[in-house]
Amino acid sequence: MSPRASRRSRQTASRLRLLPASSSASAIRQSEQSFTWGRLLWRLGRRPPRALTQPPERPIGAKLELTYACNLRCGFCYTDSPRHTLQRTPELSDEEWREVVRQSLDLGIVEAVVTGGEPFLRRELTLGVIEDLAAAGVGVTLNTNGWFVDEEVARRLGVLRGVTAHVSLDGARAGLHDGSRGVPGSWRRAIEGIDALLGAGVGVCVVHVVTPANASAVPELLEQMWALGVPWVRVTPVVVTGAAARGGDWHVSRKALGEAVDEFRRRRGSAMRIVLQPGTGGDISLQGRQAPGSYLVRPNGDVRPDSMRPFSFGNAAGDGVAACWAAIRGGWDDERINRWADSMKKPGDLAKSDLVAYLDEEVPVAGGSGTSSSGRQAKVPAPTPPKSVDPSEELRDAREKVHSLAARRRYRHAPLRWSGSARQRFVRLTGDGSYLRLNESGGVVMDALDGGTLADAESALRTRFGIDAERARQDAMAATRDLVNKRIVMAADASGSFPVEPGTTDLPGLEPSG
Amino acid sequence: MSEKQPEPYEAPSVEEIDTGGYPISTAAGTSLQIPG
Repeated sequence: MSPRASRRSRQTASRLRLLPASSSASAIRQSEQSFTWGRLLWRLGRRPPRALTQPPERPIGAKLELTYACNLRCGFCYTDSPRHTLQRTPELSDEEWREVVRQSLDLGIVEAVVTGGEPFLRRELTLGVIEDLAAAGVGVTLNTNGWFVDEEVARRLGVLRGVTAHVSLDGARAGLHDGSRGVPGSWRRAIEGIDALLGAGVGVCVVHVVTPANASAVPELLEQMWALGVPWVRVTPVVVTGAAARGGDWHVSRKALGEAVDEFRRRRGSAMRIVLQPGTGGDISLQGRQAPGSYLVRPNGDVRPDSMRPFSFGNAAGDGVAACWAAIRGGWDDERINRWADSMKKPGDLAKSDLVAYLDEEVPVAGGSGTSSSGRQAKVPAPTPPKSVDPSEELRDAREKVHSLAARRRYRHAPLRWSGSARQRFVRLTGDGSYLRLNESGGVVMDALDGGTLADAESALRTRFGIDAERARQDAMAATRDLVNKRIVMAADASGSFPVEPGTTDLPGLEPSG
Repeated sequence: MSEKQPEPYEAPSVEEIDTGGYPISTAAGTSLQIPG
């Protein structure tokens, strides 16, 4: 910034500080709709307090897109994977990927996102990479559609520490999800995958992409995830990059989503973490000149700063990861990138730009493989529509499916001691020395979950207190969630994994906002 | 032989206890250690 521009910024900033608080809040709200406002506020210092102003010497994290390919056909896919699946776009070999991971560990990364496409289409590579990263102490976020998550995958992830699986789920019944994902059967596979992960003690975050087609079912989806025992749900509108930028109406009311989340919290409290994300993909354009802290490696090895900026800085396999990171540090503030970011005035401009992330060829700022291609005119596989069924019947089936999975999951006690009486029980968690008090029915559920299931807890409540089946079901579900959240019980096969916060390596537009 | 009456019911509760630095028996209202 020139000295004159800098002086102007300081003057405007000091004027802004004189505005009443409500005016500032209004300006921030406006920034959600207008990138220009957002950029102005960013430059005036209204940014996260620890936002980077320069890339660090050593990268914080890496996002590894292990494959272009995906078995699903989502019309909004931000990586435009269905197109690449059809084109069979060449990717790095397993050995090249393992070398990229070795070099990334040498550079000192502390977190990684392992993603695709659908990474489990390269099953052994994906599991091996996650195991190497976790063994080195790196926090790992895995993005998957859940289709290929079976007992073995869940078990191998469950023994690792610091791995969280982000599983996509786009509807409270099969027709909604399968319609969104373009492949019949994908709802059932996702739900069963989530259940397998929870049963193995893997931290799970369900990622719900909201479209006009499924928006009205968000409250029901949240309720089902609560019933399934999911600890964390991310709700996000479509980020209009990749396939979504080809067209289609993706707009949903963020206000309505916020109300659905608030209503859920009023009903169920804070037992399930819900993150509502902006989804406009505008953050990167809003922030404009935000320095990257991490890098992203595309399936062909090309390296970018992140998902939103379609500019490459060498190839991880050809040039080495360290050289690519050095290129990012030297060129992240390139005028071409700034012009691209500044050309976007509002969220709709993302898709209208001449350069759309994942749809167009990356612009090489400092090299790249040159093997990426534009998807503007490419053929994409047609989604298969779900069978036409009665929605209310399908919803009833979905609720039953979710409950039957949750009801048979087996639990065990965490290391603890307890004393007191039948009416009031005192528990000491030996892991951290904390104390908890349970009432009589809480104690009944706790006892039932010592090797038992949610169904056992329901049955124990009914037998002891003579309450009706529905009340027993609801109370047993709520108590089980509470006991898991407070670490008194855990999935029987859990080995002590813990969820990882997504950090700087994910889509900026998909980072938690509250 | 009369059938056993079910226990009066209240929903399960699990409450974390802040012992305030005292032993749990004190925080629970007993007198293992006198506060202060």
